[in-house]
Amino acid sequence: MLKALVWKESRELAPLVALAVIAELMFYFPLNMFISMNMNYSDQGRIPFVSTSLENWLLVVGGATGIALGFWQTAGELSRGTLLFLLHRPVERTTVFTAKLAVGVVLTLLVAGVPILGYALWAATPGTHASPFFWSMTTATWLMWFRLPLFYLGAYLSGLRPGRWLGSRALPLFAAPLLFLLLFIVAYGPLVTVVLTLLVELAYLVAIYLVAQSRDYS
Amino acid sequence: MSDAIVIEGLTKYYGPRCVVNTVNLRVPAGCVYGFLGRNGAGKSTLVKMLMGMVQPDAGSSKLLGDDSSSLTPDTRARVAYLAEGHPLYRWMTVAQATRFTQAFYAPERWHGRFLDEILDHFRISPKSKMGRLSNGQRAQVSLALALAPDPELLVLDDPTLGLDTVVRRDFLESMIHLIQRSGRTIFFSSHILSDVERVADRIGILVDGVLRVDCPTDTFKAALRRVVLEFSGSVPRFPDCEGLVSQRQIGNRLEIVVVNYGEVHRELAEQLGAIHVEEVEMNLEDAFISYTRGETRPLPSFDREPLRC
Amino acid sequence: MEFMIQATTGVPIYQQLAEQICAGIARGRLTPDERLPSVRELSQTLVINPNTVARAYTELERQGAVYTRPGMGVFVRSARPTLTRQERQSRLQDAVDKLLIEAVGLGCDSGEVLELIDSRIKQFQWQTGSTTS
Repeated sequence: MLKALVWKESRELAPLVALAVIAELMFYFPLNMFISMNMNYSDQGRIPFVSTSLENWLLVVGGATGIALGFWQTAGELSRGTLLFLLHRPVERTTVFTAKLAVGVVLTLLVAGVPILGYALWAATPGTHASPFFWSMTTATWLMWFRLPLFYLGAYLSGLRPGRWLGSRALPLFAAPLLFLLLFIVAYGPLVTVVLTLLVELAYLVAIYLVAQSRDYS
Repeated sequence: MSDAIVIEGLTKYYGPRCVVNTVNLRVPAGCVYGFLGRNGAGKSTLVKMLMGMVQPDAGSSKLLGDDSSSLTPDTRARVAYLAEGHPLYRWMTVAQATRFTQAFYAPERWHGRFLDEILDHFRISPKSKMGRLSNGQRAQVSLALALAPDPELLVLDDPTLGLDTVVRRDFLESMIHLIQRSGRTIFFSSHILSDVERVADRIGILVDGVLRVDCPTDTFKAALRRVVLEFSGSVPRFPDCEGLVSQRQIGNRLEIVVVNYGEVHRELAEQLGAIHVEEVEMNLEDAFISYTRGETRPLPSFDREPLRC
Repeated sequence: MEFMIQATTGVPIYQQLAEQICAGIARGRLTPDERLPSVRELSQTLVINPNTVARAYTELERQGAVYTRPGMGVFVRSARPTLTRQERQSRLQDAVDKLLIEAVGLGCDSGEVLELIDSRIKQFQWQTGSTTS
């Protein structure tokens, strides 16, 4: 049944992931390309992971996708009433939410992670571009990537939280980019950042499980 | 265990409004219980509390002996629940929804043939998308999916809401079919009296969150009375009491619909200062239209004050 | 025989059913020792709770209109020996009086009423002798 839950969540989120992939490809097809017909627009001559903006674009798309997935899985399913069907399945409520969260986090990471990895592998291949490449140059990008689930979890918690006033409901989502930046500023080395990120994410998860158990599904 | 559902003092507030007010109810195993109430009377909230979807502010309820607020997966497997509006994943095909649902139940519990028969009976192709089905077909699919794991108890939240007359009839037929199959307990809410009367063994009526009536279907109609109270001055409200289903002010008269009209009601009428009390012939349709419409504001009366020329 | 359930009247469903079966027997549409539809069949065709049908049958059996053969079903009883002639007449008298009040109110004369009763009598199935098939 875990398989069924994972299948259902992935299938449900597939259209959003497809949109994210299209958005990622948009980087290579900006509007001005059609206007100026300049096929050499892209980052030629720039240094991958140092002076290009591709990796940043991928991160932006990843964060936006995380927010979309988080809302789709909670507020979307609440508004369509299907959560009542899902929560009556004979499994523990935590299992249902764990399956949702696992699929959401993995998809958020994959949406940005796969193209970043591809880009890094391309950059690491000799002869593809005229600039130096070391894997350590990608560390900063990977650390950013590792913090992407914050956006997803923020949206998830906001979507699940009952609340009449939008402001109080959206609080966890608004906190996500602040925490994201805060973790960027705290520069004690990659390990500290990773541990702090995990702690913040854990706090979000605990809040999500508490809300999931206690809220009214009406 | 003789009671499939036990409800004790169940209460729920939404803000300052009491949606469900200290409801006590027992549904014995094998009973078909029709739970009548107009939209917004608190039916759905009560059903959601039974299913552990909404936490009560006071009181408790048990399904098959298991506390509603912490139903174990094992109990959930033995209870079917049709939420209001038959929510199903619209992007799934019927076959996908079947496979998805089946994954949660033990193989020996799952009656796939029975499910196929129902789909076949209503000419629903397994390949069709849920989103493309009509309301009636979706209701049938969701009933079929709920029945496939052979539940001991069915809780249906206004299953005929939004269905037209013909489709509603089909759905009721399925329910009758279901009652005949075995001694299952069924608890269903509805806003239509005639549906409840056809299908239920017992009737309960929820008025503004209070369970006013709980009696066998057979005696329900015989016990239902429409009483007209006439007043000389202003018309007071009839106090909330056991059996009071609805009240309506027409001019200087107050019309009440009561189950088991008796001494208590007569005394209350006297205390209110009614100058004339009359029991009138009951037209059920009228009574329940006024009931389901809700309490209406008094109609303006033109004949009370004499015209001055 | 066809049955009809009306939802909007104040009469409980089981009572409507029992009355219709009684009427069916009286009009000869149900003959003595004829098997009535099973609880299952009737509940399905009328879309009503089987317990309601069972209740109607129990009620009819109590009145002596039908009898049950275990495992076989419910059958129409041929005669109603339970009531004495006097009891029968006192019960009928009220109904007859009601009819006559209505007739007088409508301005009928007694001959007209007798004529009508005579023609209606032919529509019903009578216990002994005077049957019209």
